[in-house]
Amino acid sequence: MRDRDSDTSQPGNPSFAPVHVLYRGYLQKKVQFLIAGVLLLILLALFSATAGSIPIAVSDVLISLLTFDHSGVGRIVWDVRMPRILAALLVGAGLSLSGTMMQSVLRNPLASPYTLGLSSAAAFGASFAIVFLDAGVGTTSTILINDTFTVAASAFIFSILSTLTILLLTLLTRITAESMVLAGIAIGSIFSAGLTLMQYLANSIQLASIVSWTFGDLGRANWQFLLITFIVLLPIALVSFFYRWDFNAMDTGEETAKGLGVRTGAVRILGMLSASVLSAIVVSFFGTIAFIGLLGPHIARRILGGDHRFLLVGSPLIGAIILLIADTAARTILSPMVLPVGILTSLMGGPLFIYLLIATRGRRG
Amino acid sequence: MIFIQRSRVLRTPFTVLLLILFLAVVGTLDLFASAQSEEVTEESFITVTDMRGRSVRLPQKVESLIALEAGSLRLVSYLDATEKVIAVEDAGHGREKSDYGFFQLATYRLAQPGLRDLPSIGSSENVEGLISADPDLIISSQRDIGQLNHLQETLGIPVFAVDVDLELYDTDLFYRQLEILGSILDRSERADELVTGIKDALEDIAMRSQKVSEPSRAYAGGMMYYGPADLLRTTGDYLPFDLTGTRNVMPTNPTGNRQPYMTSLEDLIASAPEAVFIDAANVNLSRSGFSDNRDVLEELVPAFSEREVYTTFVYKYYGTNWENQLINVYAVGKILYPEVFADISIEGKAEEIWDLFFTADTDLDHDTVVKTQGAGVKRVDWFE
Repeated sequence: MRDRDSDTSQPGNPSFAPVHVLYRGYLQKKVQFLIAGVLLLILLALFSATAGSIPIAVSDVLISLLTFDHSGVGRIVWDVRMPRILAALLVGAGLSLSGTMMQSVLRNPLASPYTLGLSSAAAFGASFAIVFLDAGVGTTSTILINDTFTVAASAFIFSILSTLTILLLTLLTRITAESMVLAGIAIGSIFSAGLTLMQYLANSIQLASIVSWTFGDLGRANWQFLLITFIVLLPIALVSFFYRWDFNAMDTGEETAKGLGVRTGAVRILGMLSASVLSAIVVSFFGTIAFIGLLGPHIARRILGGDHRFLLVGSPLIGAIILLIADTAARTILSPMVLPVGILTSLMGGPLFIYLLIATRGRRG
Repeated sequence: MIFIQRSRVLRTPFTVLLLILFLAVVGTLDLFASAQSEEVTEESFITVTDMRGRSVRLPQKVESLIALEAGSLRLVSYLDATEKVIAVEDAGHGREKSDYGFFQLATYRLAQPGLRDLPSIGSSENVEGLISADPDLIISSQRDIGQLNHLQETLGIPVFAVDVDLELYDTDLFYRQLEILGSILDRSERADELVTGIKDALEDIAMRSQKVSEPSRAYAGGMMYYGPADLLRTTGDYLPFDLTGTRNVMPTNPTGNRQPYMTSLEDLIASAPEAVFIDAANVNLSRSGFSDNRDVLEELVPAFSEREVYTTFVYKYYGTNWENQLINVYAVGKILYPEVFADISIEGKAEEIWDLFFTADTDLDHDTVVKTQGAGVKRVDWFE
């Protein structure tokens, strides 16, 4: 309500500054918000680095962080807490960025790695590796996921396969962005059925491995996973930022974007491909972490508006903040028991998303 | 034509009278017959209360049975009544749709290798198979009373519920279960033998643990619970620690169900145990969990820097290996308090306890079990 009041009162204000000054102020506010977001993220990461069952003073945490000291207290900070914190940042940012891109190129607010069937395809791929590639089971002793990389690779291959299928359908039939979403849902349900079949074919141990794989868990983080995720995330973030104006143009509609000289087909395929590779990497390593790909972009849109110059920075930032808070809670609330963070994001993400929908509707109408 | 003629006959009052008379006689005969069969019933059926509090009416002499769900067949094998078993489930009996090597993690299958040769009954969902197998009794570890009743009604076969979640903490219930099963399977003497043997062992352990002057602080990892896990699946209710007076560095499950749960690397470090015990079922996974964080663990956890890390016999697989867990009590005692358990050899004690639970006839050999289950009680070789 307040927003609308201020919106309507401002143009009527006779002593108001010229438009370009106003616009600069408008941009400044957004930049300020982004800076505040970065500061908040740093503070949260610091808080998370001090939270845990081993009490460590904030000053000690700061010292070991700044000196890269891996001995004594630094061992806990760097080798125990940091992998999880960095995982939360990279995964949160990655899923949220990927959601933003998908929503933009598909012009559908519900597009996300989860809703486009990519997560189902990844889960199917992982279960396939566990059941048929012997990746989950050793014959001499009991193994949960013996070969994490085989499972991750299989999950990755199948999620990329699902995206390629959607893209191929788009290219062959020139279907619209809306149909692309529907195709995603259809392919997602095919893979869900495949996952059910794998679960049926699995023995009790494999079944347990499949179920525990599908719980998204940042506890799987190790430096190799983090490095690979970072190497994929960074160029995709940069490329997407490079196309920020194209994304903005596409938000106004296919025809307008074409009129503005945007090669919509190419941007759509590039956007879908890079968003898919990014989320496929994340899901393959860490399992299904629901709602971050929807929550991050939607909160960012509510605060920053639809301008991709800010959205492509703000959305990953917010995704990282949400996942960091969720994971810090997941590893401390029931200590010494830890919860997989995927359970927490689904549990809290659902109601939060419904609130966002209602709040947005209230504001518009 | 014949039909028409008959209907004409029916019309005559005499015929109707005759028919009524006939029906009355047949009815009386029928009543008489059913009264007779009830008499038979009174003689050969008994009504017992099972471990879920249900009244189950079952034949006094159970000649054939099928045990369903985790742990129930183990109880039957303890009572030396496997000869009554006419078929086994697929799940956990080496007949799953894909091959794997976990079959032997349940020790009763090593003691009773013949079970594997019995015909398959699939699972409790194979209703038609169960009906046509027609056992006198079905024993199930299903927890849900509604489902137990439903199964019994559908099959028309008595379903006796056992409680396999019991641990040797609840000895009274544990003994009662063995005694009831003993009475319905005509193995009362065997049940008494088991109860006495377990009581003796627990008394012996209690006497020894009283002599422990400096209790150790220890951690149990690699617990099996709805599937495998690594070092970080722990439990706050670990019988071998509790019975030897050892301090478990981990609290009981925060949800209150006393079952194993996942902890974090940091909590393991914070708890600083002096000794770590790893379940043999998860030794390989635990080892890879250890090598992922070797530097941290060796620097910060006394048990790892002192290399006080041991494997124990498989505690849970398709239910609880109660016999293995009793051996683990002795093993933990022997390792942590060698002076108090000086006269015990782990191999000897293990074979003695297997003989107690599976009868001396099965004669399980220590080395064979260690070989087939992947590990026995020993210090791990992860540090080499």
